[in-house]
Amino acid sequence: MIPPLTIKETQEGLLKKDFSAVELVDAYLQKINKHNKDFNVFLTITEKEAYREAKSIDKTLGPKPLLGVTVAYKDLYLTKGVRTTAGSKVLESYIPAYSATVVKKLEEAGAIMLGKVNCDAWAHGASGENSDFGSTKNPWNKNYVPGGSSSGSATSVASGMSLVAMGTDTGGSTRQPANFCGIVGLKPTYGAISRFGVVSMASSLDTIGSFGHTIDDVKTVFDVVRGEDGFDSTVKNFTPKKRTQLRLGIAKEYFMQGLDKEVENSIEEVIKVYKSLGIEIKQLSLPHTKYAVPVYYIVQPAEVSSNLGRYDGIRYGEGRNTFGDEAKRRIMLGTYVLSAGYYGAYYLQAQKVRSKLIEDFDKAFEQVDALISPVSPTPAFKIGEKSSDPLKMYLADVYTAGANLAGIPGLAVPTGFSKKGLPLGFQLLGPRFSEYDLFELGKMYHEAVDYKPKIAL
Amino acid sequence: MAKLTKKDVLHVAKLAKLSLSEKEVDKFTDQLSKVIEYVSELQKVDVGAVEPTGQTTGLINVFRKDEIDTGNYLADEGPFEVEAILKERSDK
Repeated sequence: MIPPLTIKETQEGLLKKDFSAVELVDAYLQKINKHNKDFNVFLTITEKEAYREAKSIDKTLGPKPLLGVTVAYKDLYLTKGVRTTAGSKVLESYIPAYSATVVKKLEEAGAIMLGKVNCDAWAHGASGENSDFGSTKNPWNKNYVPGGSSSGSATSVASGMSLVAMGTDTGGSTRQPANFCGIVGLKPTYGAISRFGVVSMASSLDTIGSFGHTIDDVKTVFDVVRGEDGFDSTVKNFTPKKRTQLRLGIAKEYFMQGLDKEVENSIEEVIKVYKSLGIEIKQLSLPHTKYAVPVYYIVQPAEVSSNLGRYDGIRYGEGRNTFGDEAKRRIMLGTYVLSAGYYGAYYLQAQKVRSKLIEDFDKAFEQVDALISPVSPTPAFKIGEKSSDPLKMYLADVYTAGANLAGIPGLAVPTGFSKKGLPLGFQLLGPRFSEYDLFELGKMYHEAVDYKPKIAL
Repeated sequence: MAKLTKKDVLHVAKLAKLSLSEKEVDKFTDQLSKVIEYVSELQKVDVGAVEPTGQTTGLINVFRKDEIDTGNYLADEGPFEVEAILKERSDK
């Protein structure tokens, strides 16, 4: 059998007994086993657990929001009894004693875990190449990166190895790989979803990302995982506001030098579609956009250096010599910008410019309900193209890091393919807790162009 | 423009408890210098009297009730029990 590409069709098939959950798991595992060696997606396959869950689903077929939905977790999510590496050799043999809140919520909602997927070590990267377990390959073309840091999460969904996947987004790590792999990716509002049990990278920026083929599927997952759990004090319950007419904004700073022509043209097409749907489009300005990356590469390494301080090889994991190059670089950068004599010039100044960036967004959202923007300046790039020049890699975060610094949600929406056959797409950014507006806007576009999800393998 | 020296790199490595090889010191000095030079651009921004942002939730002092919740035990069997380190004096 070939598994359906949406939650709705999967559940209809299960309830009508067109196929069983066990047969679904069979099909996904077959796909994984066939391609995992070439694409390096799964670090741990939880076959036994998946069949156990599938059998119990087949017995009850109870009304659960994620009944029979297969899920792959970025290897940053703690899974009780199942190895969790964070993509790093430091945690190569670490087996957690408890599961992340998100994992528990998905389990209770009837999801089937297929395994743990590859990522840049500690979620440091925009290509997947920083994984200590080797890079994941783009499922549309093996010579290209799948994006990162949630490289395995995006690849697993795009290649049909899982129906949905969970990742994280600290500076673009969900939206950018979703964009490079041609699927939907949500970075939620900071404080919408509990991060309890997810390995921390930069605590004032980290968010829980989700991947799926359709906006409806990502929305269904969001409905299940959001809300307070009592273990992450940044999380707030919220009731979505009802809006009647949504307005879109275009920031001129998002369409400047360095933006790939094909990406730009594809977004212009999207804007045309919105106009034809009667959506009001406003031109506006986010004057501090060019400072988003420098602010991000001060604040984020500072928090990384603190969060990775706990890995001393004493309580668990290997010693600090086991850290890979990128983790070492970020720890040192962070230590430097926080150290005596440099704190004011770097860290404090970055926190102040962060306030200016937030002011830009606040002003924009007085005029419009969401912004339309590229996700990355280019489609997926070649493996090895940027790996020897960290700064070049960092600059790829220009369109995504701002949302993390401001704590606002972003939805990566796939549109089609470039001439080379690599995925294209755009992102919608909205004010805090505007996820449901972004879903609505994204769906309007997909319905208008009659978007049909495709799998790569 | 800010430039990192080898000495700076060795200093931060020591602060961060990382031991680097001679080759790594050279490589990281070059790479980190480029990044520091790039982020130094921020020093040109006129921030006026703006307050620094440390977090974006607007929430302050979020506490839970100070009650025992057996659901929070890390071990399934219950809390970890260990011998008391200090005992009540018997000569009082």
